[in-house]
Amino acid sequence: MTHDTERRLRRLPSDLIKFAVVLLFLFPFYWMLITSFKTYTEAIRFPPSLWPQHFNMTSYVTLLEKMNVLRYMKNTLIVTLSCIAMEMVVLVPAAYAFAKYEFAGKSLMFSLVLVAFMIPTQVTFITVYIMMARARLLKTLLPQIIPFGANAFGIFLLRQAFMQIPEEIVESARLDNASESKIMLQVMLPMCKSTIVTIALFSFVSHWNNYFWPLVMTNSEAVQPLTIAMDKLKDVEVGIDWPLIMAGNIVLVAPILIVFIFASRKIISAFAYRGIK
Amino acid sequence: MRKRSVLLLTMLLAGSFVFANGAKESGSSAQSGDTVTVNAPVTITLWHTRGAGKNGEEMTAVTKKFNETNKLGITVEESYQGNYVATLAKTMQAIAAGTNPTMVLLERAAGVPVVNDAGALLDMMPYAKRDGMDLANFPEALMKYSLVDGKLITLPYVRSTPVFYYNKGMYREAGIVDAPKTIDELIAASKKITKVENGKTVVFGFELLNDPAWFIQNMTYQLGSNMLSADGKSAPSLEDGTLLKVLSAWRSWVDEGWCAAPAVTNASNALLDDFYNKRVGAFFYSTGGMANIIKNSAEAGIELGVAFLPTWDKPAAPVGGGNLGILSVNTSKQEQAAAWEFMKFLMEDEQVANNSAHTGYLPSTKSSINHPILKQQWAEHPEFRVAFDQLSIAQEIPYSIYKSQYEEQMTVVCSRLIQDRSISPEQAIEELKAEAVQIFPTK
Repeated sequence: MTHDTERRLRRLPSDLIKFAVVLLFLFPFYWMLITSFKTYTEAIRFPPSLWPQHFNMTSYVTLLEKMNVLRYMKNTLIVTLSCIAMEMVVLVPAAYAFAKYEFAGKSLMFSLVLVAFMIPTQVTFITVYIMMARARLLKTLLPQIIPFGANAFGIFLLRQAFMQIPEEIVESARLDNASESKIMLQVMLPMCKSTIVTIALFSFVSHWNNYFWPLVMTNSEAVQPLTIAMDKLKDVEVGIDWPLIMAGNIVLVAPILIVFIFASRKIISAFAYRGIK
Repeated sequence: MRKRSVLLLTMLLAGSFVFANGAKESGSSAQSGDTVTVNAPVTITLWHTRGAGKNGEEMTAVTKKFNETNKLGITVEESYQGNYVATLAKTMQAIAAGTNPTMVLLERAAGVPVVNDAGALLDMMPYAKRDGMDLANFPEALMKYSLVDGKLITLPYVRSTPVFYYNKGMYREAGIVDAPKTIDELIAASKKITKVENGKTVVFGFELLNDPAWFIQNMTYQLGSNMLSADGKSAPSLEDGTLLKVLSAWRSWVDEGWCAAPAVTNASNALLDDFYNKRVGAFFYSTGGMANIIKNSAEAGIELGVAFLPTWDKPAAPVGGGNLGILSVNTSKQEQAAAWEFMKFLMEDEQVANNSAHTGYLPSTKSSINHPILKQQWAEHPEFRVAFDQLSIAQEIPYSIYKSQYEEQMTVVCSRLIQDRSISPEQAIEELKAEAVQIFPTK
């Protein structure tokens, strides 16, 4: 037995387990995809078929006919991207200050940030709703954006990343007469690119998939996001049209998958340990 | 999902009571008696629970028709708000914030009392009297949550009743000609249809969903008791032994192996799927979905039978579904008058007939069944007629603000008794009694 095959054999159990885990995670997506192409009768058949008898696009056609998917998609996109943009504007300076400055009340303020990300939205939504109603903003997308301006979890995560950057680097930048904003944006940020991508991605997924908040904050279809639209596809009395629901879910999930595929490497490195090179 | 929505509801209700004092009252029911007519173009809003599919299409179509044909310049904007629980919660929240719609569709027993208790439903009686609306034209069984204390707070709109659906082919194979009329006949028929292969049940004769305020309540009613007392403040069937009798029976049906226990999640869809796959022979289900059940059964090659619910003692059937109401808070007199015009339009024979024919909901007025649309549909599909005819034996749960809470506890207990099978019927009664003490007011 050569050295090579021995090594492969030794890795086999671990490879098998990895393969099984991949299957476990991929199967629901596979199931969602093929169900969206089945007819209703085939979708509920028992035992189930693993491959559609005929690929039919009826569900997608119905979906597009029944609802203005593009408008909902546009709302979701605007809300998600605006949230991320606002968060970035707030969280980068905040994290920088917490990581590299000493000022009175710093620990108190940081504990406030920690508290903020421990309070569930379910506690605050009624007051926020009433505020939005009094400000007459309910017919706009703003109630879905403004409350997410400060991302406490993001501040926390980026502060930890900034703290890992040695003080010497900041010091030497200061000696070179770099302004504080320059240090923050051109020295610190590039070194924490993975963390930023991670924060943005988490934020993207949570705003994209958010159901509870828009359910409470929106009363008209003009401002509702995709998640609320998907809920409309269910009908309590007539039973669930599985292929239609799955087609809707494909439309809902596809952008997240695409973003994740592009960003996955950055995310993994954000969590891997990096020392000074 | 259910747990989440209940949580949502609880929180919203708690929150809205805190803020309820902030609600402006521009035309409370105390001022009833004076009606106005719409004298300038006005836009009103309607919040409803009718999602995509036949239901939502009908809502959109009828609203469009009204907007195009009314001569008073009224524009109705309808929008879907989620299921009954979500719509109720959002309505209560919006009442507190002053952003509520003009009209809302509410589950009749779980929603109407809550909004009415907050004093937010307009008494439409002055309008009904002014315009000579014949309230006797509405089937009596559908009016329990509409006529309350002499006030007309809602009108029946998307109403349903459960009927007995069965696979005629299976019944014929087992040598049974007619649908069972009594519970004893149901038991005998279901036992005959049940098939066991290699120790595993492949066909269940019957399945009963865990919807106690419908099926269990109705069975206790058939036995001469009821889920709630006439004043809505106690639970007679819990005390007099009828609930124990019904729950013991249900448990024994499941234990004997011919009655399927409902799936833990998504039970009603799982049940329909099983029926189309010929793994369940018969079940109780709402008429609201009848159009789809007829279509899917035909596609699955099943000869569908529809009949009255089998009975224990005296024949009876429950009703359910949603009522339409006009909100009296944060709405102007003009908006209320406009909403009334839309309400009247929806209750005209043609609209009622369309609403029923397109979905399977009950026609909510007596005169609408003579409309050609319904006559033609009933000639083609006599199944739809069964639902309306069953209204002659329909009964309703007494009006009570404790209904939702008590129902929720009944559902939990039944789930442990039937799906989990971790408690006995006697324990179920004891647990429910302990909960009832917390829910109902002490005498």
